[in-house]
Amino acid sequence: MKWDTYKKTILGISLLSFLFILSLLYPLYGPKDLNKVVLFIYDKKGEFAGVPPMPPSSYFPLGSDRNGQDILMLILYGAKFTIISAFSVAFLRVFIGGMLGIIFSLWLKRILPIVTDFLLVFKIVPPIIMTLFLMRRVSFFIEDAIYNILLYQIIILVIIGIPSVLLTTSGILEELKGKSFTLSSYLMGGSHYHVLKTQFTPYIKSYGVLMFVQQLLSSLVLIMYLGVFQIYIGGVSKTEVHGLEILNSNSKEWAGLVGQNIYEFLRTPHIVLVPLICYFIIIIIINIIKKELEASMEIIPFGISLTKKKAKRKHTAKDHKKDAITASDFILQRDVTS
Amino acid sequence: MIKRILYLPVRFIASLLGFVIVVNIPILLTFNGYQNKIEIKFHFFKEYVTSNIIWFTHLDEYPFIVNYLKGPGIEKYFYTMTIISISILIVILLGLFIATSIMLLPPSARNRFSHFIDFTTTAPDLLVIFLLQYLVMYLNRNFDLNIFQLYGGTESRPYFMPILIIVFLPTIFLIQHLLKEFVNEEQQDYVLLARSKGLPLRTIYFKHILRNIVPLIIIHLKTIIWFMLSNIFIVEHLFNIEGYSTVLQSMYGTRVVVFVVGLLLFAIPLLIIHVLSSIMIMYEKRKETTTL
Repeated sequence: MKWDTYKKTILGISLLSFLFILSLLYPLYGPKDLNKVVLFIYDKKGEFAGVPPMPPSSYFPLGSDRNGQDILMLILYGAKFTIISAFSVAFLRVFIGGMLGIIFSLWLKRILPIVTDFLLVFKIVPPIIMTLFLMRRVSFFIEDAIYNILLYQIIILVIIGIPSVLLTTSGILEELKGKSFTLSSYLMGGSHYHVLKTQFTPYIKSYGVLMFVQQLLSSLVLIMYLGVFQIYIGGVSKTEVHGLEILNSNSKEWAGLVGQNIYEFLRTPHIVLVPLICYFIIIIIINIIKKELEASMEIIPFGISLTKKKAKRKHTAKDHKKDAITASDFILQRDVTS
Repeated sequence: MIKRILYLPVRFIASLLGFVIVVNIPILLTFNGYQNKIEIKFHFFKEYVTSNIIWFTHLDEYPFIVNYLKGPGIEKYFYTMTIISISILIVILLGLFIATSIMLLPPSARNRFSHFIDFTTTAPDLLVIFLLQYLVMYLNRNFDLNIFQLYGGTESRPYFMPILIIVFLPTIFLIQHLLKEFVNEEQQDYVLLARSKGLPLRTIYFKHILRNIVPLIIIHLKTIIWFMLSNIFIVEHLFNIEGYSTVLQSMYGTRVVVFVVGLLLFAIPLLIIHVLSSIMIMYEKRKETTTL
């Protein structure tokens, strides 16, 4: 990767991985019970300071929630689940969807239109509604089943996202098939596999990265929505939010933190806003990465291609720079300065 | 053309099959709560899918679909659809108005606005929902403005707040894309000609460019309505409004056929836009071929 063109991408990825590692190492530095203070809180002098939820203070930098847990610690603890679930879902979506897209548009081109119609469900029903109904089976408390629940949820999330990847992949390949280099490769007797290997691979690589970032965004948003409906990644735990009949998130994943405190918003906004803003920051980072990748590839979404014009303009600007006479062009001046 | 029309039933059957299969996924992939295992029950799945498809061929013999939609169900449906249609209108008008007024500003201010808009579109909608809710509550508390009804109840049907929330992000999204289109269109030759003839910028923007951009809104409307449909679902849940989402949730537990019909009803605005945009694309293509 070139540092100049991918500056923001490298920075963003390193920030995300730093957060992930910080969250993974939580057992080394964080308190095990997440600073839990159940009923009354006293300050250093021994005077009564309040009951949870506490507003942000020096002891609780981001405040505490209704269970008395430190929100900063909760966020540090839960970050890994958010990041890893979003990344794995996005990766699986792009991998499986891309494979299927390649297969359908190269070898099974006959049935591609029917498959497109078959996938109309995903086109016209918003993913949150689909996911919500498909995930009903694991939305209640099941003992000792975190990993299986997680697996089930990831499978559903992946299934929801595959169709869009499949359709975009086949669209891109259709466009590439019209290019002259592909046509000449076919004319010279290249098989589908050969064309895929030699002509399409560079395109598939760069488009795949871009699609991965897009799917990352969409899966993050989807997970956040699910939190609102009290469906948490990693299942629900046995305990309830103190005083309310809402089950806690088991994994303390960020969307779950938003979801379990959703009705606290009007009384103590910081409980909901802190995880939401953390989510916002992650989404901004990924968006910046996406924009830079798009700019480096000169792809403009929604099918409106500006590339030609942009290229023209860039060309002229470069030429101007080349043509412009600078002081160093004059031998005389150089002699004088030296 | 005739081939296409003959092909329509196949497409319809394929999409219906897709609906039935996707809705039946929880039967294929079951979670065994006693043994903590994920099981794949292909046999059951096949049976369910075939029986559901048989149901669809005898739709008229099952009056329960009508029963679900009679009375309160259809009222809730119309309530949700009213909200969505009003918001679509507002989004289009507001988007066009703001985009053109931003274009009329001097370039430096225009750039600043477009950067701001680019930043705002990245905001997750949940954050926007909460912040708008907080704003309304703040106005309510501090200035005693009690005109907005936030939460739904058994009989109340709030309009202002859901529309405000649903409209906010799509409008910004539309403005962003319209600005892009404007800049794109500005480089066309006819704009250059108009400029050289000495027409003022205002006339060029309003009379010439706007007329070419308006049809493109339909393509953006696909994304916008999709966005709105998922947002109204969340807003209705969050504010406890008894809209169509409650009907959908009650449908899920009963029968697959009902649920599929319910989903199709929910997606009607999107379907209309899909048809409109495909007609528009066909029209544009024909125009191109004739000119060539």
